[in-house]
Amino acid sequence: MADNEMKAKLKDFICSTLGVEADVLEYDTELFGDSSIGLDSVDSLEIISYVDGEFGVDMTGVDKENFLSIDTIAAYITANK
Amino acid sequence: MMYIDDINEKIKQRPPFQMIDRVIEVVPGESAEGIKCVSVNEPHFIGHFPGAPIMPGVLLIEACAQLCSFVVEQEPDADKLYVLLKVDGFKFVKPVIPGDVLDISVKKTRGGGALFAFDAEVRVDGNVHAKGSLVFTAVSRDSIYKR
Repeated sequence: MADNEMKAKLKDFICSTLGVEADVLEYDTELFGDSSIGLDSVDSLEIISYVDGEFGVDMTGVDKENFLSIDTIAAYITANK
Repeated sequence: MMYIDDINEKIKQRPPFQMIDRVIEVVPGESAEGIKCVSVNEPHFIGHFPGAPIMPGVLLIEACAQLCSFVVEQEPDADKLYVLLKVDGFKFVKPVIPGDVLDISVKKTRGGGALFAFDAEVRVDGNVHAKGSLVFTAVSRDSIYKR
């Protein structure tokens, strides 16, 4: 799967399921933390579940650096597929 | 069909916090239908509200959540518990009052990884009284009780 297709799927999921407006979410937008769009630990579990179901990659217990943005999540998926 | 003895073997909740009286059908891993009979003797009606008993919406959610536990096939590891993680878009369309028989149906919508998501609906006499979505996960007992 092309990187951009993967990132588009991740963005669609974050917008549709986690309630983030599409116009504030770029692929390098920070997802968690003070200067982010404000996702929380429950949202991270949703992302882990989605990535497992959609891409077959288990991100349980993975370092939080991999959850910085859609870019870093996609990079982790690509590296661990 | 599961009667109260079988229900007690499957779920850990007990009165006055047991919200499923009968399970009509379970499709393992997919869906379930169950019944709760609402009685004026239930303790929350003392205060919710004096002279105007209405079943609290949070307890309708709890009834749906308890029914969901019949759908999830695998038991969690001994050191883990399934907990309600998220409630989405619940609507309480019509009040539930003593004497109502709740026909509750839940259907799994997602089950990837550590999460289980369900759509739930509560009907009385065929009419929808509440509906919404629930998400569950398994968490370690230590993360709950050893902060």
